[in-house]
Amino acid sequence: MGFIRAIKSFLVALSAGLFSVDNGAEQGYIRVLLALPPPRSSSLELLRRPVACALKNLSEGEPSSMRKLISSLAIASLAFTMTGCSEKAKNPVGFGLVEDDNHWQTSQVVIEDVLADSCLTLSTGAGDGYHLLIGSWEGQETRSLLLFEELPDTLLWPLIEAKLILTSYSQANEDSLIITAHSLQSGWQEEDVTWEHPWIAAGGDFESEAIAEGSYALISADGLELNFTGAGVQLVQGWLQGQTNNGLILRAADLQENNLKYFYTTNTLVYSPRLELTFSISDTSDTTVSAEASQDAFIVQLAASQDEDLLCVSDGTVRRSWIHFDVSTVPESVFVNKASLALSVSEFSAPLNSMTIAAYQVTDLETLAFSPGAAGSANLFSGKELLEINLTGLVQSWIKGIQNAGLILKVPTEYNDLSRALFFTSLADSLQRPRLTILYTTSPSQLARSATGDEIP
Amino acid sequence: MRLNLFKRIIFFVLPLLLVTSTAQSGSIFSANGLGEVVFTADARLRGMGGVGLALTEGMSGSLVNPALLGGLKWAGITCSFRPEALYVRDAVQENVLTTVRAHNFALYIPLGKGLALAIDLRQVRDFKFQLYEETSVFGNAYTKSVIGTGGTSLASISVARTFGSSLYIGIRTGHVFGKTTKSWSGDFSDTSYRDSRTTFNSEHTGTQASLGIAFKLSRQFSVGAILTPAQEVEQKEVQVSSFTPTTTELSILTYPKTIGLGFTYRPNPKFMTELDVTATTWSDFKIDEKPEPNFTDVIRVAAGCEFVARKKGSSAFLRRVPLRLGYALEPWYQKTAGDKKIYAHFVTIGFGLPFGQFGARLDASLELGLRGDASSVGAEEKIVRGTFSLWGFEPWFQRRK
Repeated sequence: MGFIRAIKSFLVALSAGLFSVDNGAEQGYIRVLLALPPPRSSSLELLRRPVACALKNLSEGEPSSMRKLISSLAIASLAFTMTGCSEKAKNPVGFGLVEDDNHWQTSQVVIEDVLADSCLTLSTGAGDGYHLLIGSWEGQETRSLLLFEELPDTLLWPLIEAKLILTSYSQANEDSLIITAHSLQSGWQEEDVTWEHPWIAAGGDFESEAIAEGSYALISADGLELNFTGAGVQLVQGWLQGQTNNGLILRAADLQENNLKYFYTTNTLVYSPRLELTFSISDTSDTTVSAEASQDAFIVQLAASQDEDLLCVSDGTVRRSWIHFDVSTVPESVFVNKASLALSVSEFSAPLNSMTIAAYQVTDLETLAFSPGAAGSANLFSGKELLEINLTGLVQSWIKGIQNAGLILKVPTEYNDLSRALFFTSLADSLQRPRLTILYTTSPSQLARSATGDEIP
Repeated sequence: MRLNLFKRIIFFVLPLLLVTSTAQSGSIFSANGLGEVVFTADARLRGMGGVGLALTEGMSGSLVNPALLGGLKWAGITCSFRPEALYVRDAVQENVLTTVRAHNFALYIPLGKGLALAIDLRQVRDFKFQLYEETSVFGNAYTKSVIGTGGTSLASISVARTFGSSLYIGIRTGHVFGKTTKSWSGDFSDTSYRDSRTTFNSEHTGTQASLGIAFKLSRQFSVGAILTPAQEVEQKEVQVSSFTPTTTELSILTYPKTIGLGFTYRPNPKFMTELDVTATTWSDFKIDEKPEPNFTDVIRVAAGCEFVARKKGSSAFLRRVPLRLGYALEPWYQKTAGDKKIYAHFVTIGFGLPFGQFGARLDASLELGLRGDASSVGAEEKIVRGTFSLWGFEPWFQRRK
């Protein structure tokens, strides 16, 4: 008998031989046999006896009463085991026995003490956005600029037709809009172009006669097409031949209040504004070539000046707010369960009815530089009177000792819309002031330390 | 048919192996201290209130007093498991908790000339509890919880010898080991809130020794005693918390000493009764030489009796079934925050099913207990506890005739 088979047989006999039925004269007995061998047996004898016992036991019948007893014990043991498995309900009894010094204490503090809060207006180009805006919103007109620097090399082919294709993102309302394209007379860069810069005339230096036109009412799945006039085709032909190329400006021909259209920019890659140029190769055949814009931006008239006693966050005309709370009243080494900044809304305006406002940790008190990642954000929409931003992680870091230089409130991507939100400052009534609500938990050792003033060993 | 029996038997044995992984909650009084101290006894002893210090007949007493191992004639094996239901109540609410424990396992080997050896594994401390409180914090739904898992076990070797037929002396020494985890949580229902956590993961290692003695004064009277001196257990505790960085702390726990004395009276071969008194000086318990203020000395009192209509030679099986009855007073080692002592009273019954020719036995017991008091202590537990034990013997290591 091989060694492995012997071990297997031994183990089978050990498990089978733990209980056996003695078919002797006495009913209802269980005979317990230990399968461990006597110490002086030979190797074969080590295996023969338990195996023989196991075979003997298995070949015998059992009294019904003992069968019932074993079954009952098995069912009872499994029932208890399964009851233990299924007993997942929470036990509310006895929590009051837990000693007080083992309890946590949860506290809440509402901080209205503001070290500083102010509105900051920036003048930057809107070249980094994902949308081109054309139209008007609340008295602010917007225009979009396009520059095509990478045109095909087709000097030998005459250009017979040109179209500008814009892919629509959204619109503020369902009204139609006539959009015209005009040739720009001054050069510009998308990083710093604004309504004022670098123009002689505010809003851009351009030819008054339109060289392309399209109607938003005729927009298709491919986008909005602006067909170039003969003069426009000649202009583009000139670009192809190396003449001065300052690009195009797009504006609403029939300016209507609160009629604003959104189109994708070159940042979206797939939906970049593009020219479709048709060339005559021969008398009988034409070819069409596409050229995507290389730079684009939208410019917007500056908004009317606002109440200086309000915090501001706006897009398009970029405004941000700085707010600095004093959190020194919160004990050290507590665990912040939640910290929430609440701002009462004074005014809100958004063409697309919603606006995202994010808070960023200020890293330099002098320059108000801030970290690239937002500490928290929230959405604001029409009718909402209170904006709440979760700042748990940032406030925890302040309490742990990271420099507290306040936070900047801004729209995460500031060149996509003309939304605007104004909030009450610390000068307002108590119910409307900015407030930072911090709910925190103190560990028992911290409680003891605060009670005695001594360090707990 | 025959395989059905085999399967049923395995069906009975397998849960024994699984029980420690499925236990849910022990005593609700465990949360503040070291958990529930487990008194190791088989179903026979538990049926008699948990006596055994002077029980010179049979091997059950050796689980309590190592000296009683000296009466071992045949090699043996025993194991027990203990399902328990706790009906807990405080001033406001009530609940039912269940737990199942694989209680102990032992192997007995006679060495000849009155000398015997036992190897056993037993649970000495059970650290399973769960307490919850649903509340609100500044208008936010909040659940506090304290959950304990794990326990401490003792793997020991006992050696005993009889001197003549009356005196038994034995010693048990073993290795204490175990892991416990105590988790504090504060959970908000609103997921925008961060939850608080502190977890203490402890590992315990140490040694324990006990000295036992028993003496048959006459056919009717026996006495037994046990002494377990104070011992030190090393504790390594890792604290993981929301509040502080993870810390590791090493401590020395000084466990108290225990002295027990038992008396057995057997007026006739059918009836036997025993009284045990055991004192443990829990007020001497220390952590790094610092006593725990709420720990208090405990005196455990147990009394029980056993009746067998006819021991041997009877063709009527039921007349060979021993019946047992007992009572135990088991105070808790820790007082409440209000300086109240916690007492537990148990009434026990049991029986045994003998089989085979070498004293093999299947014992069962039922304990009904009451621990604490809802009005004075703050909570109470009604305990329904069963114990099932198997004893098997074989005439190994005997000279064959």
